[in-house]
Amino acid sequence: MEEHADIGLIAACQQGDGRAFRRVFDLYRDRVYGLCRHMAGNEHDAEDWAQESFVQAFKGIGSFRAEASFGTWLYRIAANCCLAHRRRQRPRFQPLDEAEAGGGTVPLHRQATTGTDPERQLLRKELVKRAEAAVAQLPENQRLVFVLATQMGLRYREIGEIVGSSEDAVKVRVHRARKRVRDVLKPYLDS
Amino acid sequence: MNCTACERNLSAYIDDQLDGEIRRQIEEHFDACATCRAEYESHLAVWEAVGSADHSGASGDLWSAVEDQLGQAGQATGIEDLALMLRGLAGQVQELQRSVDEMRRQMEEGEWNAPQEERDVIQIPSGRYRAARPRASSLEQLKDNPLTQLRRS
Repeated sequence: MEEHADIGLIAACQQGDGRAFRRVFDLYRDRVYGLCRHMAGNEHDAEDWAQESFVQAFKGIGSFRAEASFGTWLYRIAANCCLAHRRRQRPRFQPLDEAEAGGGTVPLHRQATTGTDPERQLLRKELVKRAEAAVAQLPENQRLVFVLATQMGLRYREIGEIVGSSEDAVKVRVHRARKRVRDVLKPYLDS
Repeated sequence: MNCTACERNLSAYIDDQLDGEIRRQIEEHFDACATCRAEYESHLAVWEAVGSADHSGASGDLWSAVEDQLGQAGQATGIEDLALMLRGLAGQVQELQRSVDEMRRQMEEGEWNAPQEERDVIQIPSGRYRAARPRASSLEQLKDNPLTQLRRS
């Protein structure tokens, strides 16, 4: 089970306790970085965006109120940071049509003729790469909720609090994102 | 559960966001509808592929970078925020004290005339405990304790 920052720890942060800051960072580092990694599409930007998210959160921690959970508050900062950067930069992902290595629309899992494990692993890696590229092509609002739901495993209600939408709106957006990704990968997936 | 409702809830089902009853209805629909079942399985394959993405974690330098940016300003920021909060609270307490003092002065000089909204606070409750009119001793008690008059019904 994921650990969360308790109210005492947050209060210590609000009083400027450096050890409390470090503790909160350790609790949320992987989740914030994971979100940034999925939104940025590369590790370099993910590191920068995660750093910026934590700095913004720690500088503004005095304004945190207990109406929402601290995690929700922190993810909202990270999500807004990612969206702001995405709007300013051109995407760095490799479009799927440029990633073609020959083979057309033959299902990837059928391209290996010998079926040895290393080959299957390679094909699976390729599928994962295509899936990431498909996610990277989603509209920003769909990409964010899709990542929060499928990668972070957050409840739709909490995602709604992060992005400022209703639970039903999140459900619709996640489904639309999922359909778009599925439609891109369909030629390569085994039914 | 029809196909439209099933499709609308499909992602929520895959993400385990649904309660038991709706989940059961969807699963019953899958048993009866090959089209929706196939749709679910194609989505599941995508979810499994996307979920397989195993990124390396943040570098060990991330905290150092955060700490450097916060630096001494990080601690000072926390103290400044606390000072701001205390100043804000002090201001609110002073304003509240001024309001109470003004109300006491008005009552002592017989100028107290509660606005309509505050008159409504001192309501004669309806029901079997309803009094014909408020007793003088009750009003005296209220005058002595003005804070009771600040409560809204």
